[in-house]
Amino acid sequence: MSITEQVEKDFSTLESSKENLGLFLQKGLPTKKNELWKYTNLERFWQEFDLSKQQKADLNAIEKDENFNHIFFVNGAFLPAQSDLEVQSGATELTSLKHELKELLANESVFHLVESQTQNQYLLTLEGVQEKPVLIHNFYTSEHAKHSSAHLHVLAKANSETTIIESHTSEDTAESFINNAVSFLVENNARLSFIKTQELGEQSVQVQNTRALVKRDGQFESFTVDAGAKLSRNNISIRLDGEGANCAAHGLYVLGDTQQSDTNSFIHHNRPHTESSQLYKGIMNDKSHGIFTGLIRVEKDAQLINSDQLNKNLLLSKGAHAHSRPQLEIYADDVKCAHGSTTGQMSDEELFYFESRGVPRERAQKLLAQAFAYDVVLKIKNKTAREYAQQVLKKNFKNLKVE
Amino acid sequence: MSLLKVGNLKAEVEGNEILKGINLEVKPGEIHAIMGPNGSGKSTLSKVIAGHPDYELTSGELEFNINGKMQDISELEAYERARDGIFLGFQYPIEVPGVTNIGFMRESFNALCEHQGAELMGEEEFRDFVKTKLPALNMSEEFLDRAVNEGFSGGEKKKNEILQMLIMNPRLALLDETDSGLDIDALKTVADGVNSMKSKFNAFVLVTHYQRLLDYIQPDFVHVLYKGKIIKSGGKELALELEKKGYDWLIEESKQ
Repeated sequence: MSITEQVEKDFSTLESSKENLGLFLQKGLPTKKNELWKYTNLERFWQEFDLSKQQKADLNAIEKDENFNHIFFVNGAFLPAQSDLEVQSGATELTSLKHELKELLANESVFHLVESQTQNQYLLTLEGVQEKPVLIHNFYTSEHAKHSSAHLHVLAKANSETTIIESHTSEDTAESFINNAVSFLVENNARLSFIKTQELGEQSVQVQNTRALVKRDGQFESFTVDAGAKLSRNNISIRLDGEGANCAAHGLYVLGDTQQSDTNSFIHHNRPHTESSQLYKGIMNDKSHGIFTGLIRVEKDAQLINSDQLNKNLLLSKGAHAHSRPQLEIYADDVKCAHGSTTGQMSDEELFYFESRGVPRERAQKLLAQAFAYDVVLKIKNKTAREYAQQVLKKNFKNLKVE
Repeated sequence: MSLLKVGNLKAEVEGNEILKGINLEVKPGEIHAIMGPNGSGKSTLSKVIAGHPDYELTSGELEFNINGKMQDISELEAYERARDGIFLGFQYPIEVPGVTNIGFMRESFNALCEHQGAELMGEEEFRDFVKTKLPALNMSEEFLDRAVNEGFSGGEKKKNEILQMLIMNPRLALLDETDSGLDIDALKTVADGVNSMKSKFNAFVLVTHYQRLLDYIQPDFVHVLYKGKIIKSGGKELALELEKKGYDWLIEESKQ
């Protein structure tokens, strides 16, 4: 049975969105013929989509750091009792938010697959200035459903200001196929910073679909740290839809073994006087593979925009490789756009400098890799969130085996 | 008792023999100057002693005094030689973006502490310790928090090497053209740094192109290196003679 037939069969017994299911079935899983999926064969990572096995798991010991407001999800399902903030499902705002963002990621069949599930659709509404960052815990177990899917919508009301951290962790033995989505509507003059940290077990796969529509003078910042999973794919689509709107999309992938991380970002300057900035850095060891594809599109009427994009890769072993594809599509004539990409190895001279000071080569490699990653983390403005991301990185650098 | 003993040492890089039989003995309390024209192998000699992985020792002896005994160090990694007390001051100090100068120095210092079984030094304590070394080098504290050598002027980089040397307090300091590119004030500062560290327990090998540095640091021995061999050794008067007469007469003499 093909994957599309299998999905069709599973969904026929369940409540689902026929429209989105239809859109997925039409295209099926993306193949390498799709330019945006050239390096990632998703079919190879597919896990059975048996919804009847989806059960709710619970969390046993929860430790809550009081510097955050916490929200908990297990296998994509919300745990209200443990959470500090409420997320709604089935609200009318959710429907209208979906409608406003309907053009974003409209060509991604994996996104339609998320949408075809009517369960695990949530809305988080943010108002005013949130002093504490919101920490969303997504935990995936090994016993329950292998395929996990959820869609969190975030409505950042006008003038609100929030930092959200979304952490993804799993049991080490979990073989999860996580296909999830996060959608943001950033209203006039609202500020939203979103940090995703992914430290899934080595048998897991994650496809994360991140969408944001940013209105007048709104500010959206996306930051992804991918350290775990055998495959992580980030589809990021941001539309700057009001004058003065700006966004940043930054990311770090720290990979070893045969891990693969594939980022596809699309920044759409739809209105004049908008700004965007991107910095993606990859550190690849062993036989890992990092991929970055970034497209910036500037519409004809979107004059006086400012946009930059940079992808830098550090290869720590001969078997590791990187692909980098920065792209520009500009229809306006008065814009400032810069993009670039570099891929290189650690310099022997830098390593010898450390060694000549008594620092062993392996330790020097770690320090230099950390230094390479450091300036990306510094882009996180909120101190609590920045320290959180630093901890995640520190932990994963410990695991980074260097040759 | 010697500190360093180099016997008929030959070394090559990518199949090219650069050192063609070097003999050198350094005792504690001594200052040696290695001079010679460009391409004679001066920098190679210091890198070989420090353990640069690009150079291969093909024959000869390389011994260093560790715990009161002369030991073969040719198989030791560069970091192990550093921990045993060999310091290399770079001709072109490396820029390391993303690593703070003080972080780099603390890493090095604690690597030594660890090796000696001493307690590691915490951030604040280490900063206070480093601060005591700054005035003599005319360096401001601001240098500690900048990335290693990034955006430093030529003179600042060399002073930064001397600062690291003072902090590591090695038994053998190899200073590779530390004087090149320095104005006279910076040269004096660097020389003061060396003279302040000099004791009967440690030794210096100064690789230099010009006799100028030797006006401020008095060498006990001067060696002239040419085509991978020491063709003449003498006292500090040899440097003065070279200053006046150049290298040609020595090269001619060595051919006979």
